[in-house]
Amino acid sequence: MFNSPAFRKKTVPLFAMISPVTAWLVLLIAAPLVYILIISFCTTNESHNIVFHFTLRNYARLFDPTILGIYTNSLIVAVLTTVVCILIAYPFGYIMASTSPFKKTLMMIFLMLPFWTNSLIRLYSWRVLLGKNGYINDFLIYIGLIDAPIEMMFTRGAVILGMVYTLLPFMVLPVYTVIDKLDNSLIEASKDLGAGFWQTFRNITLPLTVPGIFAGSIMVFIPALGYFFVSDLMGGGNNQIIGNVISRQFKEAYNWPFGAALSIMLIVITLICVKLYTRSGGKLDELGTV
Amino acid sequence: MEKETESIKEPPSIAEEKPNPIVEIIGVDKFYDSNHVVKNLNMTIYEKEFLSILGPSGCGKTTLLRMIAGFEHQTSGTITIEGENVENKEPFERNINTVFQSYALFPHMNIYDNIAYGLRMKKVPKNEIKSRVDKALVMVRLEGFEQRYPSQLSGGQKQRVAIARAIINNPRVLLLDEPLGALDMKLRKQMQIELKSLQRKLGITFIYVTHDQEEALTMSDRIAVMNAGNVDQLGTPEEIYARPATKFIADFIGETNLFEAVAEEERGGTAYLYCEAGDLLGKSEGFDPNEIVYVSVRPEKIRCSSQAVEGFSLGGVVRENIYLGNIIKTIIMLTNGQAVRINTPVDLPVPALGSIQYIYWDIKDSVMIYTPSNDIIKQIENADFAAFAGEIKTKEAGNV
Repeated sequence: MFNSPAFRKKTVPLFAMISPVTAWLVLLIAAPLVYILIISFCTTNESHNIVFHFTLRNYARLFDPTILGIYTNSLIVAVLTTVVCILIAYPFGYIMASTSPFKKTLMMIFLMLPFWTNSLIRLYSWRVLLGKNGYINDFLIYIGLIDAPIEMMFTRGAVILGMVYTLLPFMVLPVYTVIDKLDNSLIEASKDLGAGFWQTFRNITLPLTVPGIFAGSIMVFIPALGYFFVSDLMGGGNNQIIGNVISRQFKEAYNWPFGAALSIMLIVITLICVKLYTRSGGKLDELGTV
Repeated sequence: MEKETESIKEPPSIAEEKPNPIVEIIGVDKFYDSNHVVKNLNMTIYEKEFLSILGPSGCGKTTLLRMIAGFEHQTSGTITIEGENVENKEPFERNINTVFQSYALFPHMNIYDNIAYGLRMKKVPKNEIKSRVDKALVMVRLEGFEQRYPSQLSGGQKQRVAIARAIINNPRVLLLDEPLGALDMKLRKQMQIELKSLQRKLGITFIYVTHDQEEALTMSDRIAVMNAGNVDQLGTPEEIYARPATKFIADFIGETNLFEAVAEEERGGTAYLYCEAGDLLGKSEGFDPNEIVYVSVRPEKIRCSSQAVEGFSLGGVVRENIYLGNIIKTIIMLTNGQAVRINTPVDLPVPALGSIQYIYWDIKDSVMIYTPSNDIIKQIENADFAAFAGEIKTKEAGNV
């Protein structure tokens, strides 16, 4: 069988082609995931080494009130980030879809340009702007609007700002794609039948572009639960999200099993979101438009 | 040239009394950047007529339709609807509805909601909407489809929904942009007849854009043939088929054989001409000696015999006899290499393959087209004017 021409002609090249991808997926994605799943059921000894002793204690700890509080804060931050992203990205995508090719390219460059810079550096620049001695406070005092600098950094608002700033393109691109694909004759038909701009927007454009908003929301909501560096930099210690707790378990508390259980929980939340998305008619491919 | 101006003035032939103009297009030009797509176009469209705008793709016919609908604005000139200048009117302020080429049905609404859309936008009471939608569904024979979605319908059914959605608003004029383009041949033929009878029943004006000459001939009261932004001829289907005004139209409408000939002399209503392949006869229309004339003869009007007929000396070899069901198409290669197509009903004899045949025709079946000089003048005018006007436009824009 291994010497048959069909095997040599078809199967061998096929294996040769897919095996690097398969190896990549198995080694770098599947294996770590399985490892995380296994250690989430383990315990640690006094010297923080992982002991293979089956327990559900790590999962029980997820329902600790402090942890639940962080989950709630995380969800609030993620939901608000998503909403703000939609409110900014939709008009942006709408204008981008209806403008000339030149301006379209320009808008795309302005959207993507910051992403060629390290996101940590970009977030630090926000600290320069928003900090107690930052430019915005200085300016507001200078024009006499306030007497003393106001605390803008290290608030939930600052975390959400950082999240929106980091994640906006992931909302703009799917929204823009779906608005751009919208058949213009539908808009014309609506106007032809007596609808004005807002009626057309409400009855035709918006309902037909909801899939893009959905796809974008998935792309923004899920990272917003986990981007711990944003809440570290923008929220100080005050506004922790799930990502912070997970990173602390691995880096500081050396409680890998509990960190693993938190991670599994986050994966479950993510899967539920994706399931809800596909249930409502969304396509997984469209999540990959970015 | 007289014929053309005559036919433009001529009201539609179906009219019993003097018809009223409903859409008037006066000196309309349209530029896309420096691209002159509609050139100083004048046309009057009457109440209750079925007018087709026929032309190859890129001739400006869809642009013209979109200007009437209000989706595009003319660069200069005036369009009036019911005597009113519509320059500043939005599409929904015009008493006109459009059936789009791609149907443009709203995919997220069922058939009932699609058809009711226009009435809902006009805030018509609910029970009136219900009765009018029901009536429209009956009219397009789609009773019982209310709850279906556009994706569940066939092409022909979608087309009917698109028509129902437009006519429910009681427009004075219905614009149709190649509405049958996506349908298969058999369905298209059936829909042509349906559309025509619907137009009669509704008694409204249809402006129908198509590139399919057969479609235009079947349905229209009048046809406007467009070519490169101009209306080359406007007339009844009979006029356009039997007396094409230009070489382009003769070639575009139906199948024809064109002979480029030189006028020798005219005697007793007959023009004596010669071309590369030999002598031929045509209608006398006051040619100057040595003037270049195109003679157009339809394939069904050409006959052949083994002997040269008086006045004709166009000999050739029979190359092909193609059976087409109701007719046999014979292709004869003339001595200058021109292929002449002849259609013969199947029950009549056809010349043997490979035999030498002489072709001839009845003088009254020949159409004389004196386009060469006219065409050249027209082309020069248009070409120069287009470039020149475009240049002025850009200069003006630059100055502002």
